Amino acid sequence: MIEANVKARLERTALLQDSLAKERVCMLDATTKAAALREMIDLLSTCPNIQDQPDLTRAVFEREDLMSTGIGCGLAVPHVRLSSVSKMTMAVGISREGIADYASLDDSPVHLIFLIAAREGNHTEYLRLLAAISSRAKDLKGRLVACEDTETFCQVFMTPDGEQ
Amino acid sequence: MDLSHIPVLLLIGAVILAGTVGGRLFQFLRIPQVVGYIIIGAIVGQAGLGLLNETMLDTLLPLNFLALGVIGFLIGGELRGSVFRKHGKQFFIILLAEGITAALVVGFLIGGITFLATGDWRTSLAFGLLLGAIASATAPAATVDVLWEYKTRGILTTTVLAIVAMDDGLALLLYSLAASMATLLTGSGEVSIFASLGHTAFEMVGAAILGVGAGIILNLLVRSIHDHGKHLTFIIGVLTLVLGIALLLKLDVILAAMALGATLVNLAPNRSRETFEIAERFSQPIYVLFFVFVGARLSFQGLSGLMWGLAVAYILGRTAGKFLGAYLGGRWSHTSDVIRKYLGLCLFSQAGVAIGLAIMASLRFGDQKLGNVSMGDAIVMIVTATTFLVQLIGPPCVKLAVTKAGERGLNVTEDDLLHSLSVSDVQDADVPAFAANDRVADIMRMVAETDAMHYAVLDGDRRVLGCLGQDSLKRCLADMEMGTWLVAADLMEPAREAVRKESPLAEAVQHLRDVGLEAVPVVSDDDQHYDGMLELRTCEKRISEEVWRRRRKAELGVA
Repeated sequence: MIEANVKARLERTALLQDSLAKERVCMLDATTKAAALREMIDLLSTCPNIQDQPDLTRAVFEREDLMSTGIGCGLAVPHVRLSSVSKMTMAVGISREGIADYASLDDSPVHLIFLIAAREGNHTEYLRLLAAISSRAKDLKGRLVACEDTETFCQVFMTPDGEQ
Repeated sequence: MDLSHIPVLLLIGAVILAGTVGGRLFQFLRIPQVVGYIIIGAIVGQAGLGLLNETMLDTLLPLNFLALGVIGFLIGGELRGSVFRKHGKQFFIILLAEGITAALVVGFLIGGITFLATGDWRTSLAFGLLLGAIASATAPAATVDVLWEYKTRGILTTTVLAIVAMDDGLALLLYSLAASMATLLTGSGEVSIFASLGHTAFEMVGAAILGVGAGIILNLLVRSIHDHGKHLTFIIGVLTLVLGIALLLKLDVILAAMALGATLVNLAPNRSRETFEIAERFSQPIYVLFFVFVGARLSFQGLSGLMWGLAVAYILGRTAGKFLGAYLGGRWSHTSDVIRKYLGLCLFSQAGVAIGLAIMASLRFGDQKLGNVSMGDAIVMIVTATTFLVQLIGPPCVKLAVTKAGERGLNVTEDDLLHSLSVSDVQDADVPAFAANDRVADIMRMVAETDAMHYAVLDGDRRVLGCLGQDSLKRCLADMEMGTWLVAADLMEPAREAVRKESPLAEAVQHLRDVGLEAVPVVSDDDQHYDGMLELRTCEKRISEEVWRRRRKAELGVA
C-alpha cells in the first residue's frame, strides 16, 4: 500500500513535469478573468504543441460559458481538449492581487490559474493531470502564491511530495 | 424447344436462379417458397413449356439424390436420442396410425372404384393395395423446408420431423407387403411375401448400418480437425460417399443419410451443431434444384376420365387418411392436443419415395391390364398427377399448422433475430442524457441508479454532442471533489457516430464491432434529435434473452 502511494506520487510529479515547462509560468498582469485567460492563452500558444491559437481561445471561453473553472481556494483550472493540440501542455499564471471576477465555486479571488490544453482522445492522462493539479495546488497553495519568481514556483510545484 | 445440347452448368445456374426468383415471389405472397420452386419447375418442365425434358432430368438425377441425402442428413440431426427416449413410443404409434390409415382409406377407395369400373376384383384389390401402400409415404423435403423457412420449434415440429423421418421405412414395408400380395392376386410372378420382406429389411437395415458407420467416421474426422472451413469438405465427402454406396447396394438413400445425421448428433450433440449449420447453409441451392426438378417431372399426359377420378379419390382418401390417422395416433398415444389437431396437416406432401415406388410398381405390374391401360402406367400417372397437387397444397398446410400451433419463429438464432430487428427495437430510451454543463457530481448520483454504461451529452436542441462512459466517470472517483468542478463536456468523448432508430440492427451492431465502439447514441430519423442509446452489451443480452425465451417456450410445449 505504501509502495503504491509512493509510486502514484512519483507518477503525478512526472506528469506535471512533462506538461509544464518553466517558460510557461508567468506572473499575471491582468486583473480580470477575460484578460487573464487571454494572457495565459498567449503564453500557452508559444508552445509548438498548440497548433491553432484561435481554436484554443474559442474552446477556453466556450468552456467558461458552461461553468466557471474556478474550483475554489484561489485556484482555477481552465481546460480544453482539442484536435489542434499535439501533446498535453499546461501554462500557469500567478496573480498576487487575485482575480475577483473569476466566479469561483467559493467566490474567492483566483490567485493561481492552470490552463491545460490536451489532445483529443488523450482522455486518461488529461483526467489524471486535472486530479494531480487539484490536489497538489490545494496542498501548496500558500507557498505557490508566495513565490517571488517563476523559477521558485517551478521548484516548489514540481518537486515530488515529501521532498520539500 | 430442344435444350438438350446446352451445357449442364448453364442449366443448373438458370434453374437455381429461376427457382429462387419464383420462391421469393411466393414468399412475398406469404406462400412457402417451395411452392414457387415447384411451379417454376412445372412451367419449364413436361407439364408446361417442355424446356426440361426427361433426358435432361435423368442427366441431373445425381443432384436429386444429393438433395435427398442432405435433407435426410439434416433430419437425422434433429433426431436426438433424448427426444426419442421421451417420445419414441408416441412417435411409433402415430407413425403406424397415420401411415396405415392412409393406406387403408386409399386402398378401399381405389379398389372400390376400380372394381365398379372393371368388375375384376383381383386386379382391383391389387391396384388398391399398391396405391394404398404408396399413399402412406410422406415426402420429408417439402415439409422440412417449410419448417426451416419459418424457424419452427416445439412438440409439433419435433413430431413432424420424427414422423417424416421414419415414414420412408413404413412406406417401403407396406409396399413390399402390398407388392407380394398383388403378385399373388394377379399371378404376375412367384415372389413370396417373405422374400419381399427380406429384401425390404436388407434395404432398411443395410442403410442404417451404413449411416451409423459413416456417422462414427465423420464424428472422428470433425473432432480431429479444428479448422471449421474443412468441415464442409468432410461433410460433403462422407455424405456423398454414403449416398453412392447406398445407390450401389440398392439401399434406402434417405434412411442412410438420416442414420448418418442421427449418429453424429447423438455422438457429439454440442460439437455437431456447427456441422449441421454448415450443411444447412450449403443445402439451399440444392433444394432449389431438387424442387424445380420435382415440378419439371410432373406430367398429366395420358390421364383418362377414369384415371382423373382415381386421382381425385387418391388425393381425397390420402388426405382424409393422413388426417384421421394422425388424430387417432395422437389420441391413442395420449399426446398433446396440438399434435392431434395439426399433425395431419403436415403430412400431405408426397414426392420422391412415392414416385420411386410407383416406378417400381410399373416395372413389376406393367403387363397387368386395368381396362385398356396397364396397371403400372396407371399407378405412375396417378401418383405423378397427385404429387403435383399435394406438393402445392402440402407446404401451405404445414405453414398453417405450425402457425396455429404457435411454433413459428421459436427456433431463431441470435443472428436471425439480429437481422429481423431494427435499432429502435433494442435501444434503451430510458437511459438518462445530460446537458454539457451538468456537474459530474450530479451525473454520478444519477447514473448510480441506472444499469447503463454509456450516456449521451446533449445541447439545448437535444442534439448529441458526445458520449459519457462509466469509465470516465470512474476516474473521478479517485478525487471526488473533481466532480464538483468538472462538467459533462469535460468528460465526454465527442460524438463521431450516431445511428438512426429505424436502421437495421444487424448493420448497426456490425458497425459498432468494426469501429470498436461499445455504445452509440440513437437519433430520430427526421430531425436527428436524441432518442436513446444503443449499447452493444445490452443489445447482445436482450437478443440472448429473447432467443432463450423462445426456446424455453418451445421446450415447455414439448414437455
